[in-house]
Amino acid sequence: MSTTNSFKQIMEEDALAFPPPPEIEEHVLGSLQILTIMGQAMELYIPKVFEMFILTMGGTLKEIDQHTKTEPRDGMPDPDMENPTPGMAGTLDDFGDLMD
Amino acid sequence: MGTEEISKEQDIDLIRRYLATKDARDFTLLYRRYSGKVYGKCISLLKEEHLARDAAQDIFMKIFLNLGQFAEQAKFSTWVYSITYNYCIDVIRKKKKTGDIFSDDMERLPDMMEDVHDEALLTMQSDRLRVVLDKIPIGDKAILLMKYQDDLQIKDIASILDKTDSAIKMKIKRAKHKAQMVYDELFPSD
Repeated sequence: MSTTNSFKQIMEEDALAFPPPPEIEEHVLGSLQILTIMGQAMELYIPKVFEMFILTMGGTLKEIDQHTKTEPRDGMPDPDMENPTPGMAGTLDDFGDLMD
Repeated sequence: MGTEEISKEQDIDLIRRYLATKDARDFTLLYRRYSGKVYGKCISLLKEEHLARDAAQDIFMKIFLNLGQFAEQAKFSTWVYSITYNYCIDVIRKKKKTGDIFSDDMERLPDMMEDVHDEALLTMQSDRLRVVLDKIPIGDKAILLMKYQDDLQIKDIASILDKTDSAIKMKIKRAKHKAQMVYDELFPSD
């Protein structure tokens, strides 16, 4: 049985006769870098954008923290939560001192 | 482990590492491994350098943007060539506007055709095969390249061309018949 495959031979010949122009690599890899950097920047800054949005809508940084905080590992109460009201963490009382 | 298996494993390793670390060097290696063949196919199908250049750029951007969705059951090369053929066939169809790219789109062929053995095409002199492929309808050329150059399976070709497996088998049969007819016309002394 013959092992010659003229189709594959043509493919090899075309790859040698028509090397891809370097500008293709520059364009593709350049775009890759830009998109990678944009992705990393979004990962860094989108949470900050959400924080700003919540603050603008009248929320507090404490609410943001408490939504993202994990449970205390040793089962002890969270020292930041003084007399917490279940489900009502972070209230206008937080501004008590500022309003005096 | 054969050469093909080693190649497959290395592609998958590069892909997994790139997805985990986003290190551009891994994608650069993949790009350099396939850019010659992808660009060669684009030139072969689209004929014009500027079209082939734009196509190759768009194809690799598509590969990059969809790398996370690559299903590892298939060979990476199969996936790359599928994207390449899909893109080039779309460009050709838009250029032709009529959408006729296969011989059975353009002429009524007899239902009963003598089957052309694969060996008849595979053992043609490459320069003659190149001439024959340029004379047959572009869709026939693409389907023969997918089958005999890239070793795509019938189901992969069917997926690319949005046809059933049996339709693809018939198209391959007709493309081989057309190629043999053109060869006999161009090189009657053989």
